[in-house]
Amino acid sequence: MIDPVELQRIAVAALSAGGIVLFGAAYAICLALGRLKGLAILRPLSYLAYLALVAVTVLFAWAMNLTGAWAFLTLVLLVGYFVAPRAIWRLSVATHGTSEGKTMEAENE
Amino acid sequence: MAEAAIANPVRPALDAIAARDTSSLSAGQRLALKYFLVAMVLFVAQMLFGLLAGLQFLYPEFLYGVLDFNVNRMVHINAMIVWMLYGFIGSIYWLVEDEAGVELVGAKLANINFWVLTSAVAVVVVVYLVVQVGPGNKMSIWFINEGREYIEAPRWADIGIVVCMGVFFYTVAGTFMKGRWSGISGTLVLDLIALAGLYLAGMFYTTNLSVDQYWWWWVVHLWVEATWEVLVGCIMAWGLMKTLGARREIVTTWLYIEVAMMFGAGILGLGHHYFWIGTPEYWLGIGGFFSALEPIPLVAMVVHAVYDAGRHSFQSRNHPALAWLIAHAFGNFLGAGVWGFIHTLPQINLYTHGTQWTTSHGHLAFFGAYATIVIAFIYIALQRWRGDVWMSGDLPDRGWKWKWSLALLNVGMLGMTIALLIAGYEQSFIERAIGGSTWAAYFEGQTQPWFVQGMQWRMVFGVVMTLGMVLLLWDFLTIGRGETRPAKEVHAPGPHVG
Amino acid sequence: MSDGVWWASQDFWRKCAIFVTAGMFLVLILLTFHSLAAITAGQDRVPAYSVINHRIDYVFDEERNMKVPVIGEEAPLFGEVLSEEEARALVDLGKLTVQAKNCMNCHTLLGNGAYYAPDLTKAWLDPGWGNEQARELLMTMFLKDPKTNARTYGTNRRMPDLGVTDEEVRGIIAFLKWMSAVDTNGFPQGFEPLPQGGA
Repeated sequence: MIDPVELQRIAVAALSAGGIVLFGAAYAICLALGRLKGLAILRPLSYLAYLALVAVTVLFAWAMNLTGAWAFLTLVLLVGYFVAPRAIWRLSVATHGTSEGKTMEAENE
Repeated sequence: MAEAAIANPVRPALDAIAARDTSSLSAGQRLALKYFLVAMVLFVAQMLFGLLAGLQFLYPEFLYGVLDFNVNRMVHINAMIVWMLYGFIGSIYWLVEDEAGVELVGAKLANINFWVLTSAVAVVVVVYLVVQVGPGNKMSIWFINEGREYIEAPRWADIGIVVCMGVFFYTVAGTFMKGRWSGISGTLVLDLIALAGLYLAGMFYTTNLSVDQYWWWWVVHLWVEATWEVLVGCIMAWGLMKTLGARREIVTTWLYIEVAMMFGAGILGLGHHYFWIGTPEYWLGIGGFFSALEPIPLVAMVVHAVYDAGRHSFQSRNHPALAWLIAHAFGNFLGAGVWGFIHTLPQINLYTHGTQWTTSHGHLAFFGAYATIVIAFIYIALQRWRGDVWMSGDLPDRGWKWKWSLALLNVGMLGMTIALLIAGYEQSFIERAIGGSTWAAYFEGQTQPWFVQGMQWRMVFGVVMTLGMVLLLWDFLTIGRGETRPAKEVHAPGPHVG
Repeated sequence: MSDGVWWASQDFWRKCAIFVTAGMFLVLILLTFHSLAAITAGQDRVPAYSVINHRIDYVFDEERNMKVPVIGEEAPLFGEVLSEEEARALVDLGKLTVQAKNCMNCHTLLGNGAYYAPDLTKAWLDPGWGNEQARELLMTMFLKDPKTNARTYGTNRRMPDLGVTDEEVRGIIAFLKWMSAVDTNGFPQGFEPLPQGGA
């Protein structure tokens, strides 16, 4: 069963949904760039982006009436957007690192 | 200067089309060029009929009774599907011999196949334009049009397409079998089987509209949100190795990761089309859940892109292709990710379903995910065709043509998308949410200033895009001609690993 | 090459890709069996074609929290009660005509199609027809001569003359009536059908 979005919340629902994906990307970029370049400033920024993601997700859940079983989706989004970029980072390091790490390092600088 | 610019394109254009100088290319690559040429002709047709249909929103009397909206719109979306398929087929023929390490199997047959398929496409389009509609019987569906969005091609053409795809498949799979297999080619061949198999799901008639739409979405969704994505993943994997010198084992691993994530969320993401067609209520939950998951891999992949670009000091041997690959990344992220997610849950889709909201998403997603890739690949092919010439920075005239066409096409598309979204928001609000979707409410929505202005701006940006397309074609015809510098060296990987 | 961890190996991800795809596809196939059974005409979600012999309403269902089609007393289309087979043949003619005339590239059916003209999901119940008595005649006139009897609500966006025959018109109307009785999970939301009953 669904509880459709209320009339005056259509815009909020859509904008917060867009916000989730955009902040998710901002978080992912800050995370990746921060680790790659060793820029300390990007670490807090990535958490800030994730906090913004949490905020819009809450707004999203409210506007979209994600109650009952649908509340599970909110949880999945919060966990998924946090974990997936970290998992992909680890995968990136693991897939690229072993076979070529040394040579690439030398070529880089 | 201006005069030269106007006179200039004609001459090289004719030269290029008349040029028989394809001796340096393999049989597959020569065939690929033909597919690309038809793809571009259809791209022009898509734009042209899009402009006509867009104008009819503003001036309903325009071509009324001559070329009605349904005809223009049908040609618009069919030309798109077919030019993208031509682009994919061309790309695959381009890479198959390199990837397999042997010459194309059945080159002659493949050539005949091209002409058969292209003639069939031409006949279908002529019938669309001249006959347009038929009486309500099976003959119309067999010989005029099937009347089902995206797969309007009449049944005889469906069968023809399947046969041609079979021949295409035979030549490609046969080439790999004669030569060698790789992770990329294995994935590609399996994906082609799925692609052809799914098309069969759209080749029957039934009275029951719910059953009709159930299978219709198998074709439409499982093509564009699953098998096409993987096809593009394979083409891109090869392209990344060739243009950036990415390493095969890494590219292959990531292709598998992508397939797992794409199919993991995308197959059941099909459920977001089963909300309102008569199918059981559980699809609201399944469709909502899995399509909410769909953007997560897209976002997470950003990390890999950043990592990849940062770790490896990639040297691009083809700037235009690389720029279009970047446009692909952004376009896919925005069009499929952001624009998809904003209206994918049933709670909001109840209002946005069947409005300009969908149009907005469709435009950006198709362009971002597929048009960009085909264009990038054509640049890769052209570079080789023109003699593996220099296409990095420092092009003659600073490469203004490719840069401006890139800018105009992307700005035009983004502008259209935003204009359509505003119109769509207004429509879903007035027509669906307040008006309860009656006919009166529909027209009420269509006449609101925001809607009308949205349609006007869509038209403006459509023209911007068209200019970009003209420039793009001009660039295709001229880039690299007369260039003497060889292509920039990138550390190319060994042709085959494991 | 694969001296790395197992979860980053090419082999592991190849297997993942295969098993995830196969698994998801299997689930889809199982769901397809169930869904197709549920949407067969005459089952609970999609009505039998003879539904065109009855009055159709669209009423809010508290339990499901959405509006659902309700099949009422006998109200034969064009005053003629049809057998299930006759009804199927008529709806079939309508569906074929809707496809052959390429309706879907202007209109939407169940919300799918193009957006140049109104959604047809509940066209049969649209309040624009005034009342039940006038509806069949108005629909027939409109479909026969959409130029003269245009219903553009001031937009000037007229339906072209598609040359439909009398029998095809009856088929289209039967198809629209049947479609309005499909259970679409509350789509379109908030739709108020034309007044039901009364004389």
